[in-house]
Amino acid sequence: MNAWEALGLPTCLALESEEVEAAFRKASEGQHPDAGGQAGEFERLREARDFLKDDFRRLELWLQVQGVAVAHSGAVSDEVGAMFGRVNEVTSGVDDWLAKGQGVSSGLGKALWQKDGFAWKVRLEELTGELEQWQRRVVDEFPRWEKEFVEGQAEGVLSARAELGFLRKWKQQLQVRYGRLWEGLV
Amino acid sequence: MSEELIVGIDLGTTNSAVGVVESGFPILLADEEGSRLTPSAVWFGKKGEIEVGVQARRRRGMGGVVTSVKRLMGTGATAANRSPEEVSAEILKQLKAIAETRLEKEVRKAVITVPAYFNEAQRGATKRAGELAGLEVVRLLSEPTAAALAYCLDKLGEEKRVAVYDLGGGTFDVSILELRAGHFEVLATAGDTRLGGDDFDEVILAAAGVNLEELTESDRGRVLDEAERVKFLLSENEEAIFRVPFLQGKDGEGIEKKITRESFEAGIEPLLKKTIVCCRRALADVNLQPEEIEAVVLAGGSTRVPLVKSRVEELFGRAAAEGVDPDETVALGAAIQAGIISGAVREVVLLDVTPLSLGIETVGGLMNVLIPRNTTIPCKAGELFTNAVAGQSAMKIRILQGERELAQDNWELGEVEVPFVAAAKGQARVGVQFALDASGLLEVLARDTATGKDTVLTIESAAVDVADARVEEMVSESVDHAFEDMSARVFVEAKLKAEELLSALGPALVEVGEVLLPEDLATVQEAEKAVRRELDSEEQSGAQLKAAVEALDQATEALAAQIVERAMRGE
Repeated sequence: MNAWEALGLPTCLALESEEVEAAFRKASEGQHPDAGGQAGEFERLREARDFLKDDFRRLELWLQVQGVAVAHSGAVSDEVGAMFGRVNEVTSGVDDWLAKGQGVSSGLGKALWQKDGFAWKVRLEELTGELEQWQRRVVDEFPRWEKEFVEGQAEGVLSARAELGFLRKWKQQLQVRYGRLWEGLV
Repeated sequence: MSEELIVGIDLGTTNSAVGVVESGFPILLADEEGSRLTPSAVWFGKKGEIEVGVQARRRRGMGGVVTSVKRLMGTGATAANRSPEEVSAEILKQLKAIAETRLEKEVRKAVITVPAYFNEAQRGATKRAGELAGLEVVRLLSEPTAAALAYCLDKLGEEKRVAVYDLGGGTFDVSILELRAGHFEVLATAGDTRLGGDDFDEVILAAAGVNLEELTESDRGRVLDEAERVKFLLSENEEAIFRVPFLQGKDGEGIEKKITRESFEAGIEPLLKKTIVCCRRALADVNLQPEEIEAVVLAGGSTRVPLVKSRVEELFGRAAAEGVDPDETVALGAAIQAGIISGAVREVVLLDVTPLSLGIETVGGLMNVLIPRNTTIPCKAGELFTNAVAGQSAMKIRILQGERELAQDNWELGEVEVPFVAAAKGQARVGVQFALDASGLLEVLARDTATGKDTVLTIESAAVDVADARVEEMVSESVDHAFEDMSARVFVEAKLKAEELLSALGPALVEVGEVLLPEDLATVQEAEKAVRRELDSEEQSGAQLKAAVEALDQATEALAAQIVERAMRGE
């Protein structure tokens, strides 16, 4: 049984996280071990939900169900290449900024350092927002890729997979920095 | 009642409590004196007598009394020649007795709360304490999750994102939860298992000029009680007198000192900053801004301190929820979880997470994360191991918990030995499964891929005392410094700070100089000149340069504050 079937959903790519959540509630009712359900069963449903709510993992799983083997190499689009550089600039910038804070000893020095930190915070927020919009754009195309795939065209869905993979990794990298940033700003 | 009886227990650093669900409502059970809170104090007499609670606390200072034992859980430390588990078991026995008296029934099963940020070793120790007290621990429940349960029980129909800020006597946790149609789901948790009200007491002691080292044991007990009393007073008043007469260690001399709320607040500020950083991290982990939290619940006695409350309300931009008793809410939540398991409470489902990443050490001393932090529990992760040389019969795996890249910077939970059948290099394959149960406790299974047979691997506990190691490190550092030439060292340190200040001053004056009154600007300029003079002086006096630098640091405080203020507003 695949993740979609487990939650009683049709095996489709275009799926909003609210739909997944609602299906999980329905399927898991009375299944929690504390409410008398089987331990493994509830866990399986929860894992299915977590998979389907994540755009990248849902796509991976969908390709698997379709029997498509994904090669992990391939050319990277210019857009992805450019974003690589920008994400790297911000993450290493934040890391350097945090490291610099170790040596600050005066009130005024710390204030100027924190000022830089707030600037990094804004850049992190802006870049994260940009990545989220990008992801939304990719996900909005899911119905189209799904249709093309049925007609024998897999290019669209494969490039979406590559983009979502990068987006997921970048967002994680930025998220970690955003959490650590506050060590210097609070 | 057809359901089996399970009690909920809050095993706190300072106070403990026991509760149960009756007719669908959680209630706390009071002792014979009518008190619902039992101080977590245990007295061990010379003839084997044991007292728990208020009586034990009264004996503080007379020898044999253990308090705040929770801070030692999961370490190799002992108190009154007993393990932390044994001491905690005495508190649990007392709570069990209170429940049995009140309910007129035997109590065999319990849900016990632990700080969300407790690691596996600390959780395991808590469970063992329960067993020593004759209780089957059916679940370990995170304290902030318990507080959220208690707060939300009458709001099950609502959809809400809740933050729980739980600052107890010895530990701090923050959890972000989502409530939807009776499902409680913890999204993220963060904390510090060595930060709490006990540290606030130390701030009071420092302000009163007390050095615990100089005191006899009985004086120490009185002084600690007084610190706590003053702390409570300062929540209501602007100042309080710290007064302990006739100290034996000081030839009968006493201490009397006025402590202001202002100085107390200045002292706890760095501690509160640590908690706010934790809150920020938990929020970042789930990609939420503080404004997106719809209710803030305060738990733990230390949240009664007005500054704590206002710092939390400032962060989230909203007032804390009303009607929550911070001392009782965790125990009430434990009772609810006990009710969920026994069947006395229906239509509530609770999903908690693991606070720390779980991993194993790989080649090169790195941590390979198998289960990332904030993963919903129960959960499992597998890893395949192969033999590195022909005929190898076993390999050892070090299991780690923590967020650092290097294996050595994380907690070591212990080692397991993975057995291999004799085979050529790379041919023996064993799949190892790491499973965290609903209490956050670890079980390691090895599956031979050839035979499909599962074996439970025993974890040989590392039992490294983190606290002791750290203290030792600090001690050796300070000894190193003692042998260095003091004045030269002070001069070099002050010079670094001077250079930092002087180079920051120019840009700062350009940017926000207009906020200074002419006379304040003159003070800054005078202080700057003094620093330059000391730097150039032939004397190279460490003390004088340090004094000049500190004067400049102070004179530029307003400038610094203005810069941060503007940066925060995004100007």
